[in-house]
Amino acid sequence: MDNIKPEILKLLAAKKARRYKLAHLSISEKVKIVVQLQKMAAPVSREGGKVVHIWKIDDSASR
Amino acid sequence: MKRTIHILNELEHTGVLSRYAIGGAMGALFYAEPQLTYDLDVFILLPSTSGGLLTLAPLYETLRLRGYQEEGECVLIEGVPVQFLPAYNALLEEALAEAVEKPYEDVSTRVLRVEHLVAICVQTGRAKDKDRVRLLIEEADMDIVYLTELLERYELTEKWMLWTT
Repeated sequence: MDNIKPEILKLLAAKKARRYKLAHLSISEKVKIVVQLQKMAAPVSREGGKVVHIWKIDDSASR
Repeated sequence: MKRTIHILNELEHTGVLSRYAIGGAMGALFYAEPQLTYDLDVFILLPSTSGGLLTLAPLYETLRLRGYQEEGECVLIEGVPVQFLPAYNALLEEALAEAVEKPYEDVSTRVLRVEHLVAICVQTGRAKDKDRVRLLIEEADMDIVYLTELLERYELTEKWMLWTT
């Protein structure tokens, strides 16, 4: 770590802080992020032949 | 998702399942930063049958009658693919027994303890399990004494050392 420039150390620290913040979000906020990740990744997964579903998290509508 | 959890709770209350707890990537989500996953892994204990046969058929039939269709290894419940995994060894049985209640919005669900999630990853041993262990070590609040004892009891200490040193 001694050879790493201070600017890079600052970036790494910021990244670590962001991950800490993400880890401590509420579970429903985390699930919203997972759904965003699913939306981003689904086209690639489907391209590879995988059947994937984007989770339905809007529970306001009744069946 | 809330409705999916509600259905899981109902399955347990009505005795279709003896006990359930969320594990896998969704279980880890309760303790660490979000990671991509498509399936909700649910570990279950099934009620004993007269012949002692372990079968998912009654569970799948109940869900089918409610309009939830099977898709591969999963059942699509309220828009979420749920994979039911019967506890098939002593570690999973213990993990289920000691799983903890956690809130999801205004419903309650049950999630494996983080130490059990780690031990199951070590036991399963795939590359993605190793990644999950790294994530949980960095981000989750773990009871190290509890984890150490757990790993020893299930003879996972050696593998754990290989993964973490």
